[in-house]
Order: sequence, then C-alpha cells, then structure tokens
Amino acid sequence: MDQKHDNLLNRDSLNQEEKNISRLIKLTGDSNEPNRAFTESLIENALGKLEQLKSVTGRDKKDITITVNWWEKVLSLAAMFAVVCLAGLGFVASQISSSFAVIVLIVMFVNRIVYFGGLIL
Amino acid sequence: MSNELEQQSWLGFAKGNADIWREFITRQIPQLYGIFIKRWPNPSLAEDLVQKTVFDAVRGCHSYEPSKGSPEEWIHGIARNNIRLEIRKRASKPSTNGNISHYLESIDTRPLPDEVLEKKETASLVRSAFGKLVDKEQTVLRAMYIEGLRARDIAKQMKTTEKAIHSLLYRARISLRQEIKKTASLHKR
Repeated sequence: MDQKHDNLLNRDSLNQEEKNISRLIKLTGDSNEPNRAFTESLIENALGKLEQLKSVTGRDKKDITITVNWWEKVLSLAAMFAVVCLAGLGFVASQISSSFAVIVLIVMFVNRIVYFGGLIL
Repeated sequence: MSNELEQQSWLGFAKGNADIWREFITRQIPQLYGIFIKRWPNPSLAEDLVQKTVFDAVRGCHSYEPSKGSPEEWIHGIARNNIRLEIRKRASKPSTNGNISHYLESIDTRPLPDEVLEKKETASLVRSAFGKLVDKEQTVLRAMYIEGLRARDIAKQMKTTEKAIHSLLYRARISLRQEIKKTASLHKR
C-alpha cells in the first residue's frame, strides 16, 4: 500500500515537474503569437465541440416531436369521454333511486353503442 | 451589398455554420492571444485563457444576437469577462513573496504561481539556464514545449527514433531543472 502511495506521489510530482518545465520553457520563446500546433489543435477541438453541441440540440428537438396515430386519438377521446360519463353518472346516481340509476345507465350505454356504431359504419 | 453579406455571415455564425466558425476562430486566436499576453506576459496563461474564451464562445453560440453587434465584438466581450474573472481569482489568492528562487527551487513538487512566471527576472533566469544546456537538449525542449510538436514529429525532424526522443526529453528536463535550481540558488545569494 505504501509502495503504491509512493508511486502515486512520484507520478504526481513528475507531472507537476513537467507542467512547470513546460510553462518555464514557453517564457524563452517568442511570446507575441501562439504556436501553430496549439492554434491548429484548438481550432479542431472547438469545431468538434460545435458539431457535438449541434447534434445534441438536434436530438433534443427530435425527442420533443410526438407522432400520434389516428387510433391513439380515438382511444384518448374515448378515455376522456368515459371519465366525463362516469363523473356525471356518479353525480346522477347519488341523487336518484337505485332502480332508476340502472335504467339511466342502460339507456346511456345503448345510446353510446348506437353512436359509435354510426361512426364506424 | 457587402453589409448584407456581412449580416448573412453573422447569421451563419449564430447558427453554428462550421466553415464560418473555422474562419472566425482562425482569425481570432492570435488576436485573443495578443490581448491576454499584453495583460499578463505569461504564454501558458495566455493559451489557457484563449482556449477558455473560444470554448465559452462555442458553448454560448446560440446566445449570440447579430442585432447586438459583430461576432468579433461579442467574443472580445467574452475575453474581457475572462480577464475580470482572472483578476478576481488572483485577488482572492494570497500574493507571492518577492523571492522567486524559493519557488524555482521546488519546481518538481509544487505548481509555479502565475505571478512568478510573469516576473522579468524569472524569464531571464530561465533563459540563462536554458542556454547552458547542450544543443540537442535545447532543440528537443523547444520543439516539444514551444512549437508543440509530438515526439513522432520531433523524431522525424531529428532523424532518430521516438524512443530516443523520449529519453532525450527526460534527460533534458532533468538538466534544465538542475540548471534552474543552480541559477536560482546563485540568484538568492
């Protein structure tokens, strides 16, 4: 464990030394303009990042688009209708007697069957 | 007509057109580098700040509005902001003491503060130590750290193997470190 720790310390100090040497040597060069390798590498990296950002934004836009089929529309409308009917039914049932409620329910059911039958045909 | 072309180019810039950006960054890098090196005579820091400014611009590409001004004005605004950040960062850090020898003697263990690198005496001390190295060592260090070449390219230039370049670099770094320490200790007396 200690050996491993020592190795890590040595590697860190080597990196530190190399970084410092690199920064010091740059002081001896012509400091009026950046070196060509730095400029070329920065241009390529920046354009790579730009492309990456563009593709991420494009993907996000695609994710937002939702395609809805006709049968999904029909199902969602039917679900909405069922919820409204059940709420109305609950309210009516609480106001009237149970036998009358059964009659209302049957009439509504038959009415809807006729309605959807008409739509399909 | 040229104004219209300019406006079109600005729109392309805002949309992240790769060709317009390539031409723009190529033109801006030396200008930004000049701004930073004028403020702090420290090539490594200038490179870091140029890199930060360019990447800030790329990330904020969609926030650029052509109606507010040219891309040049916009990126120079980002550069000014980075200068302000650097000044604030330095103000929050304890300042270095006047003796540079103390820092140069421990270059293998501690990061050199930017303030030390920006002193004229540091540059002259390093130049003097660098001048004492043998020609091969000077060439390899210059190619690697000033010209930014890869070991493979240096090997081609010096007509030798990549492995030989790595070992030459290793020896050159040791020699330079020793020379710097020697010169710094003489400087202290």
